[in-house]
Amino acid sequence: MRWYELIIDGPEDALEALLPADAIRGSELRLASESFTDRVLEFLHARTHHVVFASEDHVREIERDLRVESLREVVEGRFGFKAEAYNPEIGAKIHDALNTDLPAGIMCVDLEKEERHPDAKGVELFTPAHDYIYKSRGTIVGTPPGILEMNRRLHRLDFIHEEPLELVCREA
Amino acid sequence: MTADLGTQLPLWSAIPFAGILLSIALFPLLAPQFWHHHYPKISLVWGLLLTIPFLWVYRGEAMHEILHVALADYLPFLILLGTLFTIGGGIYVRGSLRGTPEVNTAILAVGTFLASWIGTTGAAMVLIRPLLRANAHRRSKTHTVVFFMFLVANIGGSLTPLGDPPLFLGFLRGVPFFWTFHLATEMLFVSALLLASYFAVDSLLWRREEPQVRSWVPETRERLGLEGAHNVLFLLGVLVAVIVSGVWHPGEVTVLGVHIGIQNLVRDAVMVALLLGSWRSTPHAVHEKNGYTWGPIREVAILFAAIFATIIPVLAMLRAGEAGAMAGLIRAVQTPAQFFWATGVLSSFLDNAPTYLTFLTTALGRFHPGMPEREAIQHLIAESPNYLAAISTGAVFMGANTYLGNAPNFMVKSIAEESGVEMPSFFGYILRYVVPFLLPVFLLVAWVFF
Repeated sequence: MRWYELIIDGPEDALEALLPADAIRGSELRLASESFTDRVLEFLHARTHHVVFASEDHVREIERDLRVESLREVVEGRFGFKAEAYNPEIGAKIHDALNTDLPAGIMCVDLEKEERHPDAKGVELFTPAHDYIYKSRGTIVGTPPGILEMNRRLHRLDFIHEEPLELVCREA
Repeated sequence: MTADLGTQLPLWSAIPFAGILLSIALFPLLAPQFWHHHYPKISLVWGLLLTIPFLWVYRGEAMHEILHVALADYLPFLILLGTLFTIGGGIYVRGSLRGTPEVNTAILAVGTFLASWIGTTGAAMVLIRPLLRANAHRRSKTHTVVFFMFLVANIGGSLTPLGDPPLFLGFLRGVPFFWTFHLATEMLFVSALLLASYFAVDSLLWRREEPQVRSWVPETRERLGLEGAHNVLFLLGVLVAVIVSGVWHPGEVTVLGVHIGIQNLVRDAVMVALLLGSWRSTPHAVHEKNGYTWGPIREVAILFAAIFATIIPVLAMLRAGEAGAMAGLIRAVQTPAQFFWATGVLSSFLDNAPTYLTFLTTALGRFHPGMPEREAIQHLIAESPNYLAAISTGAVFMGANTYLGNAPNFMVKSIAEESGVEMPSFFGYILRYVVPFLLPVFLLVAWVFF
């Protein structure tokens, strides 16, 4: 099924009310080229233009209900990520996000490891070191909706930093 | 310390001091595991780089200076920090709290008040875990830990010499215990602005939390209470011991050629007794819940041995005023506002205790060169108290400007990260929190007070 990137002009409330449930909001992802102003407006819920991703089934419906300023088909996408966490539970959460129930056609982790330093247990004032460190890094490549779903999945987690999602699109 | 030594020492004798401070600042950021394992050796190298040539050239005089700084500054400093840390580590706050904006602001306010009485490290250790527990269910919590760092781990410690190590060093050198109460106006001004900013930001973020987060209630409701509450009595003991040592003057004894007030020996002995009393009377489980170990005391003992040894020539040069090799610094810093910013900016990146001492001595060298230190401090307080206020607030407040400024900052950061709170990077902390929230407040402080 084809997926599309839509730029929608309208208030936040209208978007909340009218978007289909399985559409993915740009604000749920780490997208390239977001300006500081965009982020401030996002924080204040005051954006006037919104990026939305939706399957071809829903595009017509969105076009009918909202003002769509541009429409492009998403062909594929990729993004890099890097994670470092200091708590085994968080490490396990990131590990699961990267390795469990991956959407079809998604490949990711280049490196993943855990370090334990029992001598660093307890609090330190001047020589801070963690007794547990989880590290991973890699690049995720794939087609929509898997690539969008993976970006959204990682964007929701702390201690993992995604590089901006680069999308290859063509005019619809 | 004679003014003569200060006029003879070359500027490069300050290199080991700069070296140990930069090591403390940079290694935790650039090579944390290496630093964690090798900081004793690195401290020893910087310490020996100063003490060997210093003793070789100045012999008896150098030995006297080293013994003086060890007995009059280093040991009391170590004993106070160790005692407050041990007693603070014996108090555990239990209970279920919900991290609403009101509750969080109240915890920050209580911590800000407590910091002056149990030290910023003690207050941070006692309250960081209850704060993290209260916010465990929330998505937005980084800002709460950052404001905790601002207020509890730094600014709150400005009211008494127990609050923050720089002020205790000032006390050891002759600043009266109750003089720091004069900083109450500045402290309340900064705390009120920051608490109000925090409440506004947290309220906004609270409204953006998922409905289930906002309606969350702890599964088991545990009443708020203290474990190891008897340690409050030990804290009172510390307070009394320190205050008495500032007002009671029964005479002096000479230890290894260094004159030491009997009241100081009594104070230190009492504090060691309180430390041991607290340690032995507090259940191990309480220490364990606070993550208390002897590690931080060991760190302070090793690193400050190097700091206090290597600061000797710097203080001597500064005390010599414009006749010393650091005349440039003395000429460059002139007004109280300049002292506030110079002490503050350096305290942001280097540990604030030695920075305070450096600028206090700079002010003494500027106004009263060559005068015995205690006498010079009394003159400074009587004639130009604004300078001491600027140095004190600069050192204490701006310790919050980076993770490096004050010892508890790294401790809070580590505990938060291990509890699952993602903390900003070194520069992220400055750009996202210090520049928008602290800097405007400090500009106002400089404008209104200095």
